[in-house]
Amino acid sequence: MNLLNNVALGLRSLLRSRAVEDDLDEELRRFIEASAADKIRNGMPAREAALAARAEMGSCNAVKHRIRSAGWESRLESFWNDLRYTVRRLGRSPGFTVVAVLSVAIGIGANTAIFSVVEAVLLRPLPFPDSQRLVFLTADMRGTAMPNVGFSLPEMEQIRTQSDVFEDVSPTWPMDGNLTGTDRPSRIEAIAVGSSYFRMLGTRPALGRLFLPQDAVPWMSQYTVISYGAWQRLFASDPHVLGRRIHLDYDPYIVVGVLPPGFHHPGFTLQGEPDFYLTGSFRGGAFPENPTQTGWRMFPGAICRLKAGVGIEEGQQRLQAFSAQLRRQFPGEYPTLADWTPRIESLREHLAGDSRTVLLVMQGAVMLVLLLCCTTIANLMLARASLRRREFAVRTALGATPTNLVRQLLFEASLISILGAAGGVLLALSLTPVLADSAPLTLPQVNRFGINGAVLLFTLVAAMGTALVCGLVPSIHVSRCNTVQALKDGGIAIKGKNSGTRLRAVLVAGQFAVSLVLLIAASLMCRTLWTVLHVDIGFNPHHVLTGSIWLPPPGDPSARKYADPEARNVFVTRLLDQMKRIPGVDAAAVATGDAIPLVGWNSSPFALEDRPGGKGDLLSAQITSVSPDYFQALGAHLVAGRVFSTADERGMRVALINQTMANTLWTNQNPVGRRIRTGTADSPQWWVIVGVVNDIKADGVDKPAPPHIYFPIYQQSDYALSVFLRTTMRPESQAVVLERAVQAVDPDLSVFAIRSMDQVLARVTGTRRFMLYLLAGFAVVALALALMGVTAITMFVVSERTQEIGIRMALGANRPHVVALVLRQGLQPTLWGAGAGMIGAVLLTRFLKSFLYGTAPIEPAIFAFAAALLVFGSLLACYMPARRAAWADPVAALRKE
Amino acid sequence: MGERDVVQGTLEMLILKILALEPLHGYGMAARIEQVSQGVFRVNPGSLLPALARMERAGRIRSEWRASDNNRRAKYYILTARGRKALLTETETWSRRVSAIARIMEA
Repeated sequence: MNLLNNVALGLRSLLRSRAVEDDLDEELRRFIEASAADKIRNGMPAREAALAARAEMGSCNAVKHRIRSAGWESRLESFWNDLRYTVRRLGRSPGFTVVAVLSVAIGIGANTAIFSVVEAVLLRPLPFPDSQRLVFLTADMRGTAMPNVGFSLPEMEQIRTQSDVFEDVSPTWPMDGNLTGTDRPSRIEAIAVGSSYFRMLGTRPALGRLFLPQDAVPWMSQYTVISYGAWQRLFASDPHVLGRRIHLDYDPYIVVGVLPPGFHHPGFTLQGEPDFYLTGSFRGGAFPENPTQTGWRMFPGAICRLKAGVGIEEGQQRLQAFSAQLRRQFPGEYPTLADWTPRIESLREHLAGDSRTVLLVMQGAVMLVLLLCCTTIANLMLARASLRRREFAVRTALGATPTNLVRQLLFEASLISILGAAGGVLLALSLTPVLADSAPLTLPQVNRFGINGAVLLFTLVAAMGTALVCGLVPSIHVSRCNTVQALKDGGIAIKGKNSGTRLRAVLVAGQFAVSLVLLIAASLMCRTLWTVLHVDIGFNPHHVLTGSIWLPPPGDPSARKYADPEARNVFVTRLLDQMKRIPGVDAAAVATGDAIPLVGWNSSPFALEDRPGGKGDLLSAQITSVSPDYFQALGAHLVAGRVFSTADERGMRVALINQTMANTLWTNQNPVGRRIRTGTADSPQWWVIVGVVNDIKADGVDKPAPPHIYFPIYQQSDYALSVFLRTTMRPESQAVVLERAVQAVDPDLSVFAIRSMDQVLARVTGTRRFMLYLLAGFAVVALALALMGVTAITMFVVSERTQEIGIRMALGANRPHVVALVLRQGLQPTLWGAGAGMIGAVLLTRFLKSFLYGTAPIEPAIFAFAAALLVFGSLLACYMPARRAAWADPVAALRKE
Repeated sequence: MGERDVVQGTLEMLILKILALEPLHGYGMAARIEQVSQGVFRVNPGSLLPALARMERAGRIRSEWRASDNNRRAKYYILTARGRKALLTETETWSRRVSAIARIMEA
């Protein structure tokens, strides 16, 4: 009741201020008149009474001010006045305002963008009910240091029923396959899951139904659930999609449900999002009816829900005990040397993976940038504050408390921060999608990145922190200011003692230090990238198109199209024929799937004929099969002997090896003619080496090429194939042509992952490139801020010491002398900052180690170069103001106040 | 603190008491306080008027422009129900404190 009254009174005061003011005046007038009248009644003369009454009142304005302060609206009004005043002030110096708001916008924008990723990946819980009880289960061979070896079906069932850890277990088995039954054949990603997967995750279907316990039929269920994306992409959002029949690798399936649009499988897959979800009991049919305990570890991992009340540590301990029990139960199957042990980790941590470090480093770096921006603004505000020393002194003399002055400075800083933060959020909105696709952050995006409540809260806190830092620095200076001194010497000191220049110099030195660290880091990455791009990869990646084909394995026994090696050879021959007919093609080749340079890699055993040993003497190399024109298509070359020819299709088994293998196994000898053996000692296959080719990089660009054996594809083929086209046209434009060539041979097949070798190379160097751009960007921003800071300081110093310079010149100092004088003062923060930056760089560059190549974290040449760049830039920045000071008219300088 | 100022913190209570008898305008209250206290207390307008404004915002009194003698209007202050309640509690508190002081002083 009273609240309403209070609000009404306040509103009246705000809206009808003139009337309220008049009322106040009248009330005071009445009081004085009544008081005077009373005094006259008591005998005082009229004029004296009037004066006395007025004197008793005191200052009418003061009394009216106190009366007005009783209401809440006066606080509002003073806030509004402060705001208008600050806006006016900021408007009067547009340069400062624009720089300040822009700096804050960049700093906060970058922070918000990265925090939105950090929040989605590291902080937000997964979008499943009770998600903290969800874990990812896998197993390692701790004895032989082989992680993620997986489980067999019996092991999975025993873990579910006997280990007393889990309420529910769902194996997850990513796979891919050829889809037929939609408008065109395509390569899709699928995943086989347990029948309780969707129940465990609490998912509801968008259409139809999801898996039920009764779907765990022998072998695999004929029903499949599709993702929302697949429904849109492959079935054109057909509302009658339920009941549609499709084939995956010739196995028939019926669509029984569609997942909602927000659902993402919380795990790693082969390439992207699974389109098809399959389930079954994984027993019988094409799978063994009674699988052995450790014969086939078919499940790479599982998603499980812990029992209520069981934590992760306790769960791990129980699993330890369980595997000990298994060892006792099946002594022959679990050699203690291998030490097969199941392992669980929180599902969210599993999904964050390695990106945790990268994200935290990025967040740290970007906070440094914000700090830099704050320092710049604080610096500028300090400069402005010291120019207003006289004004502050006068205000203090008139009754302003330090609180008032500080409040005004904080207000200014807050306004800048809020405007900057608003700009920053807009900036972040455009940056976040870019971040989501960038190289080191290839994460399964279970939580979507976005600017949500938590991120906005972070932005608010960052803005408040910025306002505090930017506002407090000049406030400290102002409150320490000596008022009398300020009034006496006209607001400008001779030697700069009281003007806060020292504090500003410290700030600028700090900026230089941070800039140097970032410059050095960027230079190291630059050198790394240059080295990486100039490494001899062993082939010519330009104008080469590559793609992958999967000849489907027999699912339905009657459709064993490519089971017979002869059938595969026929396919390869026909395909090569088709590819050679494409206009513009110089060379065409087909090889096994892992023969794609830079990304394909395997490790297979073999033995040497002339170095027989015991069973421990199995060597390993990368073994791939290629068609005769493979090396020509890639632009690799022969070192000795000959390449494969069509004559090798039948007859003796031949092989090619690479330079590394020749050098390590047959140093100074000719390997041509020697024999190597694959298979076991009991059923060996012998191959004769007919030639040596140069090294082609296989696993990325930094690792040296492994020893490599090539077999002719007609003598040893596989279901996974890769194709290569060397073409005079632009490779990316030939993708459709390649697809058509493949489908001319078999219309049910599709080519996937079609890209040029240039793109593959770019992908492989992607992370380093990203780090370089990031660090270089930060370094440039930091250096720009630092240089601006040092220029501002120098200009300020010059204006402070104008009189002094005039005196010196009058006393005989010449121009270079003056320039040197000013430069010396400007360079001081630079040198101190460079020194601190060197130390910082020595300590911090070790965190970059995993990205560097061909350069150590502490490279003296690069450190020296970066420092020289810094000092040189600083010299340039200070030169202009120094020159202006030296060329100024000494008489005018002396006269200047 | 002047010699004739009211005891610190009691101004509002005194105003409430004065207004309990009849509504008054600003000077009327000042005069009444001086008169009833027999000259011991003297409130200056710089303290009285702001106190009245505060009490009005707190809802203890309300104001009304009325025609006073010589046909000019003056702002009269009237006690509200809330103010009456406040007067009772503050009187009680004050009595307690005064008795306590008296006991200490006579001990």
